[in-house]
Amino acid sequence: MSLQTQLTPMLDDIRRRWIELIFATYPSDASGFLSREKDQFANPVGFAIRQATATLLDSVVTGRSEHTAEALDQIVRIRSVQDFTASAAVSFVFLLKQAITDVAGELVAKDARAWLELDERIDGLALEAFDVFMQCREQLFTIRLAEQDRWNASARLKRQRGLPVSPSGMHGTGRKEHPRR
Amino acid sequence: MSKTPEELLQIHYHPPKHDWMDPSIDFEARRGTWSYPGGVKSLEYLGLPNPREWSPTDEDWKLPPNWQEIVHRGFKDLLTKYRSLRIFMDCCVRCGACADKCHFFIGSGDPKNMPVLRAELLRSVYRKDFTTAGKILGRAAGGRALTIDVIKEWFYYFYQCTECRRCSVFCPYGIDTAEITMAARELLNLLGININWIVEPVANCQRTGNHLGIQPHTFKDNVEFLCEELEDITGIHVDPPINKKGAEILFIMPSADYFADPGIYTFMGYMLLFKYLGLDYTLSAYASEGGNFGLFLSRDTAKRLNYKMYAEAKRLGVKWILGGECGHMWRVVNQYMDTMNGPADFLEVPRSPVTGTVFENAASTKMVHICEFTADLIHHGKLKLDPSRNDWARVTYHDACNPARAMGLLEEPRYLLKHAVNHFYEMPENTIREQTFCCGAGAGLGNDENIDMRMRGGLPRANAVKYVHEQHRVNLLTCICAIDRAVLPTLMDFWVPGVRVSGIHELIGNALVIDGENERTTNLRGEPLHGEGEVSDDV
Ligand code: SF4
Ligand code: SF4
Repeated sequence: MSLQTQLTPMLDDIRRRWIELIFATYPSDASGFLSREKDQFANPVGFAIRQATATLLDSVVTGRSEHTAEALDQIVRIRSVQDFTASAAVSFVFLLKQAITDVAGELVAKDARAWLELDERIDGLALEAFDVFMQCREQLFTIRLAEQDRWNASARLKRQRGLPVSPSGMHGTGRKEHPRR
Repeated sequence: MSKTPEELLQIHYHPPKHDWMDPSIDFEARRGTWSYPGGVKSLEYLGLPNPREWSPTDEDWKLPPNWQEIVHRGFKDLLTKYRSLRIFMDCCVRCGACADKCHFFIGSGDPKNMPVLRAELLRSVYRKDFTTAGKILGRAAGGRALTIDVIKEWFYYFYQCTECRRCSVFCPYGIDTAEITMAARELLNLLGININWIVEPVANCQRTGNHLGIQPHTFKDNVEFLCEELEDITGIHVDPPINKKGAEILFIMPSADYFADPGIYTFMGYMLLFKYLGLDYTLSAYASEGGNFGLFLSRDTAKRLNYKMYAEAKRLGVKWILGGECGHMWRVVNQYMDTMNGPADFLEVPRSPVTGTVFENAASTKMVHICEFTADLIHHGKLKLDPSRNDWARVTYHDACNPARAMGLLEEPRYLLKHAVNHFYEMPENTIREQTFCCGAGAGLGNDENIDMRMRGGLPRANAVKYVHEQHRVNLLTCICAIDRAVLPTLMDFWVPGVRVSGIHELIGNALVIDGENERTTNLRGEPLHGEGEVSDDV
């Protein structure tokens, strides 16, 4: 029997353990809330993690990757704006390795070659997560620029119509004086 | 050397558990979650304390030598003036009902964004300095000494509260954390600690009458320019009076409505409506701001900015004031204006010249919200609306915190939408009405350097929008707040691409069938009425 098949009945436990480990990357007062509150609107972070881990685990075990990008985005987008460094933001992917060994350590130890395959898929996922992280951070900069443009819409429209524009702006945009960066 | 995955796990597996009482913020590492300090010129202009060049990343914040005494005296002063503050300081039983209700906590997972802990930052100092037990027992009684690090922490976390009051909806004692934040900002302000995105608009507003610093000629220029755009689209010529003495009504809107996208389309909606009604009204180049960023700084600055609305109403000799789609403006008007600068005895109790309805709810402030005004028009069958002109839009509605929670304006906006659009979908119950989630950028936090914090705080709101976007293909998020219109498009770009943002009177303007108009082929944004965005079949 292949490792994949043997793991199948354990997937729920693995996923539960993985989620637990991800929640534990948050400060302790928050991780309780993340796991306790099940309402998807009251606890969007917990919900996203629960939902996306199912897809990601499935892709690691089966090798199917149709929905991985979406699922990665669901978690990484959130972590990209939270108090994490880049490495910590994507480290949740590696926690899957720990979850698997925690739950199915003995099985895995017996089939090194099959484990290597899973291990590589998880590494691949982590690299992909890093790309998503970078995209999210870049997007933050582009949406900031788009915002400035919207906040000066009347000036932009006037310019388009070839009309003169007087210098004022949504607060902050015309900011002459502000602390050194 | 780079870290192995195992090492990464080691580091972040169990985050260090600090004692919450020990403050220390690494501002350098947390860029994106705090705002730049108030500029010297603005502080000087407003006569506020301790103008200087400084940055939160500096070790030395250049506080006055007797800063502790200043805070202590200021605190004492606030406690004497506001009995509510003393009660809020004393009566929290730490039941935790509010703890997970703050959008900043939900989105960040930072425990100090729990309202109860946010308040505790101030309360612990109160306990130490102002209660007998605290004076004697100190830390054992939950008291904490006022150090520079505490002040830095106050700056960080009290400028991570949007004063939205969602938490107070859940508190069995009605403790209003927004007022605790206001008190803390008031104290920080005594030391010259504040943020530029608040201080500069306040200074602008005091000088020119609006947050953007727009002078009368530019105001006039902008209004006329937008009216020309409006005429291009509708064929209707609108020439709104400015500073007209003796007009019946003074109309005051947030400045972003005549300046920024998408507020300018809401402005066009107002203009079209007033033209349709033949309303006797005037705009004012001085009362050219409904918003009041003074509220986010100190009670005194809130009062100063609010005063100009009354002063201008008096100068122009109008009977009453109609206010535009603005958020915190209505908190000031509804909850503070009367005691700050009112009652406005020189004005009359507002009465709609079209329907004769007397707005008893505004009997004292003499100021009516445009959604109430327009809902009353529709109720009396005074508007001809063709909602199919908004069929490009599949609409949901975001209750802005202040109109919803500080004013109870829940039904009118929905009533307007029901008549102006064909496709309307509510977001889930625990994210709307009194329980609405903040945009994450109110109370002066909508600046771009604070972008990470805005995205965190806005996540719960965006998450609910995403749900209706996926379930019902909603593509337009409506709101009645100028800050929302400024910041929600950015929030949508990040979390729910494909959803745009508009005010409600923009949609009223689209739907309004008005004599002598061109056949409408575009909406007020100049986009085809039956464009790509349209999805005709209902789900
Ligand atoms: S008022 Fe709003 S932002 Fe402030 S603590 Fe309460 S829920 Fe959070
Ligand atoms: S809900 Fe009210 S009493 Fe309970 S912890 Fe929060 S502020 Fe305190």
